[in-house]
Amino acid sequence: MIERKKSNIKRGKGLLMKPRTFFLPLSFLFRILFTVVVLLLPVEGHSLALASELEGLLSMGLEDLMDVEVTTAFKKPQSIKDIPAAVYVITSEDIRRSGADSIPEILRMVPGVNVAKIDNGNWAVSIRGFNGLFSDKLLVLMDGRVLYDPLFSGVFWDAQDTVLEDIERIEVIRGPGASSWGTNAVNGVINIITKNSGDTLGVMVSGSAGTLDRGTLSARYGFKIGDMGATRFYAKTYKRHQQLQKDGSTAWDDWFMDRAGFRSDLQLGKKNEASLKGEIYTGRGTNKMLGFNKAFTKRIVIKNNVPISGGFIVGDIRHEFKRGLDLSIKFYYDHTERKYSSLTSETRDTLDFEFQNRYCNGSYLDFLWGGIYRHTRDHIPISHGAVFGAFYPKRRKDDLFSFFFQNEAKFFSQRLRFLTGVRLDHYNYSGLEVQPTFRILYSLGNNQDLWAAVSKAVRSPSRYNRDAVWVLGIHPDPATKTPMIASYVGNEDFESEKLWAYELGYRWRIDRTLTIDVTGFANFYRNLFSGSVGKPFLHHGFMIMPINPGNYGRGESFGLEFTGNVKPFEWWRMELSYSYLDTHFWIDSAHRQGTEMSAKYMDAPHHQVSVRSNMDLTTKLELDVQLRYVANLSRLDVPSYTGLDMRLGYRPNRDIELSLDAKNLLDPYHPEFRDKFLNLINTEVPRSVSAKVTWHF
Amino acid sequence: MALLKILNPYKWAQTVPSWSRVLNCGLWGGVLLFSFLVTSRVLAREPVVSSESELKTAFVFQFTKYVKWPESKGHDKRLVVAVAADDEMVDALSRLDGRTSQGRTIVVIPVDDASKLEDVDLLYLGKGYIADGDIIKKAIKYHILTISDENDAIQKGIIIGLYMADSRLRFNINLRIATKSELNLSSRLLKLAGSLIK
Repeated sequence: MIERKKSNIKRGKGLLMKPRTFFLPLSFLFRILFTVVVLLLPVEGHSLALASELEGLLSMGLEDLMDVEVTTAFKKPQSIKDIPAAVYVITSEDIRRSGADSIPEILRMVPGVNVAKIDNGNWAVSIRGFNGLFSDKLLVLMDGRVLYDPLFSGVFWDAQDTVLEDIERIEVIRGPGASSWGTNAVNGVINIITKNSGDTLGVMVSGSAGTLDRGTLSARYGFKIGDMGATRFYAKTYKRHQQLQKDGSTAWDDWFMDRAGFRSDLQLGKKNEASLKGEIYTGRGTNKMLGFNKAFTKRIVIKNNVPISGGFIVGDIRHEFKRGLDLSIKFYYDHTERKYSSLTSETRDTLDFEFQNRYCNGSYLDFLWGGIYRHTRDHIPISHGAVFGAFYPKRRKDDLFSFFFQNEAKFFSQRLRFLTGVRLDHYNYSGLEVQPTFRILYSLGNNQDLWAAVSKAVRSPSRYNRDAVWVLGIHPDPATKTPMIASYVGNEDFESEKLWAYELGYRWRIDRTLTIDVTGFANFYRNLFSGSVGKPFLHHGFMIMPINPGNYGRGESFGLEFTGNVKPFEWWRMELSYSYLDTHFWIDSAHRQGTEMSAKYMDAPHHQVSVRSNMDLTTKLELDVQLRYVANLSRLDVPSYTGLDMRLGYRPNRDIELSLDAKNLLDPYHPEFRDKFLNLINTEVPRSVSAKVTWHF
Repeated sequence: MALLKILNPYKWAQTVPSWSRVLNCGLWGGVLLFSFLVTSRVLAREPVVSSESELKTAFVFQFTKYVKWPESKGHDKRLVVAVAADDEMVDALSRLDGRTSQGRTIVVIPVDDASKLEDVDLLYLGKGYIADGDIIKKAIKYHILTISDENDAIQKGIIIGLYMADSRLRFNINLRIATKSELNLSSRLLKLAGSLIK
């Protein structure tokens, strides 16, 4: 640590990283200056607000109006065409027609998102690179509850599920969203939003079974509470078969999960809205990983049981003081437990309080600010399994205090929009993180929009980065014949990984049948997770070679994302997308002996191409096809593959739906990812078929 | 790609230290500039309308183009739109005032009771404003096109019910009440409706 500080001073670098001491006062001066200048500006709001977006809407036909999408990418409902960011919305109709049976599988349809299956429960999901078992630069939320876990910095996708029919929409923001959504929204945000219980009245039962799906059963019952609102209760259970492998063996990755929950939405008078959600879940997964024998003399494949359970309760209330001025208050409590029988276990409790205040005057101004307090405590006992992993201290309590504000200013008949925002996150272990964004959108007319953005985002240190002691490998010493154990030893002083991102986007809605969306970006990373070998020492008869984590990794990535929507006929819709990604990692020149860790176990394909087609063959028969090409992962040695999924749906009436899904039709098996972090033995994804029935009554 | 590397602010920090400071302070200043633009402009108030109510207003405007009122209603130059809803919706709909639809000029009036509905052509009822069946009976009697965003509006006797689905605004039609009110809805409208009560 001391060495690093010294070298920083010597080279006179790190002005963005270190200079809190001397750049803060300077920017403070600027703030004072701007305050004075701006307050002296005459108040001339009316000349800025000429007309409004209503003019645009009134000139649209009924069919066009029905295509106007409303999203909450910046924490408030907005039409998607007005957003200066790369936003994609998956609707409940898209989910129904995807034939997907898990949340990561639904995400496969989103352009620019890389989804790879590791085994039945584990997925690697990322946006704009850095894909891994734990994609640490992607924030995922469900109804405002953060699913991102600070243990390894990432989402445990195996625990995340719900009745898929009850998902209202999934909003995917590519690029930094940290100014609105907070730390860890570095390369993207995925926001899963469930339906209001008023929209899920009555009974719905759905069941499916197939070659991988050993049986999934979802049931929901929704009812009204007088005139005040509605409530639904739901339950879901599923079992997954072990995936059959090329050599005829089974993959030891069967999985089951049960969950039950409720959601209540109430309208209390004309000015108050409230909702309450709760759920409990329990399940058990299995997987295989590469571990060590008891004497640490050789590597062996070990079988893991992974029991997981948990529950949460989320409540929010919104009060409207007057037109355009409202206040939302939200809280949630989340408890989760998981155990890898031969690795480690985690118990985590999270308590969160948030408030948000919005003022908009509809024509040129839309101001939003709020605060968050989040407390999380965990317990990670020392593992005595076949992979040695421990966290010191075993228990931790961490607090986050957060403040954000953002403003959208609109000029020239709303043709020009500025969205500026900043979020200040204060963690007790990494200090203050300032994450601003500057976005601009200009309407070129003829339904063409051009937008650009500059943003900063950080990834906060994980528990693993700070506190873990982890056996990575064994290197036999030829001279003494004692095995040398390479062990990762966490670093209390690990700092946040930082990103400055530039984005440029163009959207053209040529007409109802043809739209295109192009986004380009340049990302510059600093302080990336790196490791360097420390001095070996003798411990209990073992020669330990410590690997110390640091922030010496540097990175750059450049990319291009294209999406085109074609609707040649009323009954046929097609979506084409292509995404290109180019990433580079290196170690800061002052620390040549280190290795870049992101490059070691994280990778994402250079090219991804996808064609999605939804056809209504008759009013009752639907045919959906999704073709995906995913280029190879050179760092993880995974070959490229082409996947073809098909779905045939039959709806004899509005209440009953029968469907037949086939996945990966083009090849019997293909690997999609190789995990080098926990050393899970990845299973090859086989061809699979399943049938599903959904019944509303 | 090589050209894009110029954008890397961390490189600037190493090579041209003063730039990074300018960038930092400039960006910070930007945030503050707009935050203060807010505070200074808050005083100059404009009607407050959110995009969802604007979207509903645009729908209402389109609906007026696809409805034929009966001859008995009389065809004067005015198309009277009555609104009983929260202030935000009243504000949004008020902005239709003076526009023309089917050659008739739209006049928007707020209403608070069912007594003055005789001359009204279109009645918009906001959430919680369908108090009793009385207003519905009057609306049928005076051949009024009723529109509402209340849950299950058409089950309560409203002709067009607006609702959100798939992040988009959709509508249902109660054709039975429309026929009872002697209103002729175009087939295009019926085709686009999410569901119909016949």
